[in-house]
Amino acid sequence: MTSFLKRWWWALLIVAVGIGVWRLRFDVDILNLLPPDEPTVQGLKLYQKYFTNARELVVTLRAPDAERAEKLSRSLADCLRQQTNLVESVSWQPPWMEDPGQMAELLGCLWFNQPPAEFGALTNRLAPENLKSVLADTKQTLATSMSPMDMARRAFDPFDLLNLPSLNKLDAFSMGQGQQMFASQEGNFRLVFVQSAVDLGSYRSCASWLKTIEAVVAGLKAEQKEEWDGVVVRYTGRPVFVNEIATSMQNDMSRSVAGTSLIIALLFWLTHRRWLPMLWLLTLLALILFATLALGGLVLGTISVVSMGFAAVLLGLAVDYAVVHYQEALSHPNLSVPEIRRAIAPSILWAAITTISAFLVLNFGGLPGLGQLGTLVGIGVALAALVMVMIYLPPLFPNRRKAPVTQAPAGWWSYFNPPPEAPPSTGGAAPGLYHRTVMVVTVLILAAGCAVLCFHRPALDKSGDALRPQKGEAETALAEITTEMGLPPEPLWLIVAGSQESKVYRRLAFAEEMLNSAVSNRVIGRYLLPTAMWPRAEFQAANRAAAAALAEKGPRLREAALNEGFNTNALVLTDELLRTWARAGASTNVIWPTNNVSQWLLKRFVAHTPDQWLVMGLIYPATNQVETASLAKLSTRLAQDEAYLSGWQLLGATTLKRVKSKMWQVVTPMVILVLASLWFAFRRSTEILLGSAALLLSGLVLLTVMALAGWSWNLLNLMAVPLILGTGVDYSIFMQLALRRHGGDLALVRRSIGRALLLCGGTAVAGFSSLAWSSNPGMASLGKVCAVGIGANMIISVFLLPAWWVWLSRKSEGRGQKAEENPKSENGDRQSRTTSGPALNSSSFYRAGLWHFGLAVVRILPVGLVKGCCLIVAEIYYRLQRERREMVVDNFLPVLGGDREAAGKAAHRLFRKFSAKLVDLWRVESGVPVSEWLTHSPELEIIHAARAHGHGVLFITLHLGNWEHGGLLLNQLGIQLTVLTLAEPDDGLTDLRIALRRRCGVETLIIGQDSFAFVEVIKRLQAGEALAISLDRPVARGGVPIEFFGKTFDAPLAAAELARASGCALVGVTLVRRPDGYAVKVLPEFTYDRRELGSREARQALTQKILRAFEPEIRKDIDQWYQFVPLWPKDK
Amino acid sequence: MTCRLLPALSRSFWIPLCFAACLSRAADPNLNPMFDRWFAAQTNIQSWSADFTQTRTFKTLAQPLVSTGKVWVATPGRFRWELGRPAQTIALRQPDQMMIVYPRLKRAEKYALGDVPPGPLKDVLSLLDVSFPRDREGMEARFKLLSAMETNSILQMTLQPRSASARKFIGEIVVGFRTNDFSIAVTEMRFADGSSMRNDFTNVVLNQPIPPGTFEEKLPPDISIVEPLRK
Repeated sequence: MTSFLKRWWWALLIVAVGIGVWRLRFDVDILNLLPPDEPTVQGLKLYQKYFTNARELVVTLRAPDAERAEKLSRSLADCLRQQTNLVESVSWQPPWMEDPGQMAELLGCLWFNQPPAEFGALTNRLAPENLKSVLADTKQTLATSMSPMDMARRAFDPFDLLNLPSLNKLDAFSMGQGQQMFASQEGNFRLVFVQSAVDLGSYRSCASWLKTIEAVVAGLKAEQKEEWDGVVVRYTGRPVFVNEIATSMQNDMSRSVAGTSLIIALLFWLTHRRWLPMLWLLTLLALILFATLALGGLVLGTISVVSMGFAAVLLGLAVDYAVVHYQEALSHPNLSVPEIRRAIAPSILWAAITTISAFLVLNFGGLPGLGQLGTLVGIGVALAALVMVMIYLPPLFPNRRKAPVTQAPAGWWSYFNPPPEAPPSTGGAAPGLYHRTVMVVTVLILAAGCAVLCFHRPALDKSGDALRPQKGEAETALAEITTEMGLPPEPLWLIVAGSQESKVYRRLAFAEEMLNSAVSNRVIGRYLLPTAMWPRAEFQAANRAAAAALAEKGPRLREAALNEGFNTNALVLTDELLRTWARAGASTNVIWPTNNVSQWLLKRFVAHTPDQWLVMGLIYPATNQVETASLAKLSTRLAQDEAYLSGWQLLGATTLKRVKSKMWQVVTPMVILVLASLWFAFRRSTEILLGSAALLLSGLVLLTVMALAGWSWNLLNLMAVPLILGTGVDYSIFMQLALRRHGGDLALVRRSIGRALLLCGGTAVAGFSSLAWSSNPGMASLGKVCAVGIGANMIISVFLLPAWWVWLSRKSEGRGQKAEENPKSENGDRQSRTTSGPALNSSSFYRAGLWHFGLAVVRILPVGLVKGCCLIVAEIYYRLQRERREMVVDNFLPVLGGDREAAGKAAHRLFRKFSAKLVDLWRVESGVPVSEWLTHSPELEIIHAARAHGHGVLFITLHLGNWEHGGLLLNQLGIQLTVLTLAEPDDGLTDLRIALRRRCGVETLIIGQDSFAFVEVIKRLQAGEALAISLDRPVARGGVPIEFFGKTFDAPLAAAELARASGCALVGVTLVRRPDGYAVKVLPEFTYDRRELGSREARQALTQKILRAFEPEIRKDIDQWYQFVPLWPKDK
Repeated sequence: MTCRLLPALSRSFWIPLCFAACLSRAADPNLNPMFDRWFAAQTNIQSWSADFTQTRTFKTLAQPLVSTGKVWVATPGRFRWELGRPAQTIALRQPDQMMIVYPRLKRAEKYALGDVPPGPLKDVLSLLDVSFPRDREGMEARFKLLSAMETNSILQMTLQPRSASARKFIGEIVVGFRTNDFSIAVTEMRFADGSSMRNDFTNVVLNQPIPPGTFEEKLPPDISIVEPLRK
């Protein structure tokens, strides 16, 4: 840990955290989680910002009769008005009922907005010569009319100024409707609107203010006990909703946190009987959360509190990493912390990488909130994995901190290498009964799940109901208002915006056209737009002169009316209208009505900011079921002209539609990345399949439970899917890598990882189950779905997956045993038909396909580029293939006197040079001639002299340097060579290499267990041909032990046998790469007594002599001694 | 303005209200015998017709507006009022509906009396629904007698609607009948806004057969019909 802490990047992390904290801001607007360009979201934001009154409380009052209801409403209003420190205003009836005259200004403005022709007609009607007839007509109407409208109006409107066409469109805003805003039809149910004088920005201020208001009302009721007997008072409105939601969330969280913490503590105690690990874990979790937020602030700047909340939940995955690590340490008391870390780190790191890659893909989901969540989880999980791997254990096991001296130092990349597979453990073999039981259970789950889902599947709730709180007082009161007042179902809102009144009007008119069409097509039922009340700038400009002129006619109008028998009471309305027109005539800008009644009315549907005007209309759906698809289309068309159709019902549908459209962009890369991560974690397709199978089975179980329980998917519990995916992948990685580490010992695996996963899963299930009692139905459903999904992951990973793994690995062992019968080829790969040797795994790269690819690439691309790419691949291979690397190091140790460090460095150079060697070989085999031979003429004479014997020449080579180029050299010397080799691991590759050698003028003879091949070899040698053979690969059967670099080596006797049989010359040759060419070394001919070779000892001695002669050459160029198979037998 | 809607609406029903009031009886025990006799007389009246002079007083007019007209009434629940010479307004009442025709304006208003939603308006019209009561109890259920006095052989009673919401619009109703033949003499509605509408009846003819077609009006095609209660 000390060395870890000293790393320089620790300081960098602290700096990053500091900057992040400085940048961090929290966003509480839940709508910012949604796509900002979605018209529904834009409309909702505008509605929330400008048209909801956060400070308005609605008090409902139900009395036995209308008279009492009205009286008590008035009394309540008067009482509340006295609380000037709490209440700004109280409305218990339409304000124009108290001061009808104030409506005149609004009407004057309506006239002023009329087309000039209409306003002009009014002016003409009020011309002096027409006044008498107008007034006479009024009196005639008053005398004979039975129409209540006419009689009511004309008495106070002698000049018929209220005869305005626009007034007919104002039904919704008429006085009758106005009363309906405050009282039911029967009149015994009334509303009182109370505007707070206090800012209600936080839920605490709402709670405090409400409590005071309720106390005032209670006091009034106590004073007038008899009057209030049998009267029911309720409260609703935004302050009540905020208070209720916040209080219930607080209760939910308290209950959930307390209950969950208790359960987690209990489970941890029952499992481990220690508090320190849990406390240390909680401390680290808190630090991780803090650092995640800080780094999130660095990357994102502003974080939504909702995303933050969900990210915190998902950080529970970090607990899994710690618990697994800790359990492993407990299960292996003899291992040091670094050793445990080396063993468990790949599991944790690849689990983290899989989770991170899956969550980062959420940034393509189209929802900003999801993208934020993905980024936060990615950062958090990365931090958590690093912290839990490197920091969690050491303080808990202070005596085990130091690594043993025998443990070789390893680079950081070694933490990503999957563990070597231990030999199969006989003690842990799965009992037959257990295995059979697991298979039966698996099949039963599959069958039951499929059967249930065939008939019933969980539905998808597209509404926003999951986001609403359960029925509380506010919701009940609101529902009562809707019923009593006869209000239509919840409308949608249409918000039209514009920088100027004229733009808004144009957009209103366009919206009206679209809405008329929508009504005709039954997309909507009806709509309410205040188009008629909106000021027309162009009309106002044209009417200004006429308005001023009319205003000046005031005295004349008054005189005429008085002369006709009207008194001053009849002229109140007229006077107010004339005053309004006087103001209009003197104005230069668009005028709006300004008095209290007008403002009270206008603010219901008009908002104004320094740079824009906004107006709101109401859209009523055609039926109770909102046809969201058609409405979404209408919304898109309206939004083209900055008219935003929105509503909570529409929000859910449009959001889901958006998510669906982006689904493949998220799911496809997620699946690919997860599979790729699993590949790098496991490197085996069977384990990837098993992990996927475990995930799918968990998903099946979850869907089945949901179908049986009648649960449905909704906007909130869909968030469970990434969490369940994350835990499922994590659990399968932990379990399978543990099985690999312990050789399939189920008992040991269950004691270590199994226990850890049960604790992790159990605590997660406990935590999420506590959410099931949340007051918010969406949160409750999230808790239930998470509990079931994670529980299924846990049970399947702990009890079913191990048995599947053992079953499949047994099948693989069977194939492996068969493979042991096929020894290696010359490249150290799996042997096919030759003498026996140690069974080895062929490199997956050594295949015909790759060889073809290499040959093609060297023909097309520059050699420098190809060598550079191969070098990169070699580096990656070197770092990831630990087993192969260690094998090479072990091979080099005897040569380098046991110096492991030197052997490691040489091994590294070897991998790099091998990449260049491969490129050279591909070039030669693709026809590029070689001419950079670095030869010595005396050595070449050895070759000629050996040929001159006439008994054939057997060239002995090693897997040193570019030995395959030997055939080219001999060709250039006029010598036809035949290479003796084993079959390649891939038959296609065997044929390909034969063909390529032939192209280079080299023949190939495949030798194996077929003894006739040896006869052919002897015949060719006796015919004087030149053959080549390698002698530096041990053989499992038929070899002789000789001393090679001071160690026993099972060498093949092939060269000595052939010498005995044919009398051929034995010449040793090496061909190694130098910067300026290929250095050829011809060793002196190995002389022997053919008669003496009849004894095995003589043959052994000859073989010893040959290999000893090569030792200096190997030492000189050890990093070109390409031995990728184990050379030395294991020490017994 | 429309805040005066309800009081004004109630004025259109002054006719049957007055008629209903005509049939009520006073609660004053001293006049009880007179009321009883008047109610008894009503049971024998199947139809009647009269000329009337209508005086409308408005707070906004210095002088009242006076019109003349004629009325025909037949039980159950039918009447025809013609206001003005020539008729400027014709009001026709059937048991389930009322129609007001404005020949000069080429306009007719139809009021379906079953369509009125509950509320103050219905309270006002309920006075109509139980109009033409044949008994005192029915009348007293709807009205409270404020005062009654006899002057010049006319017994004049002042009634107040018991319904509070109806009282918002109609403050008082005055009904006067002749004590010699118990025919209607005068009706007056005093509205909450201070205006009033008074009818003085003359040439009352009782129980003369009235052709049924009197209570119907064939509207020419150029007259537009509206139903204000349907809005």
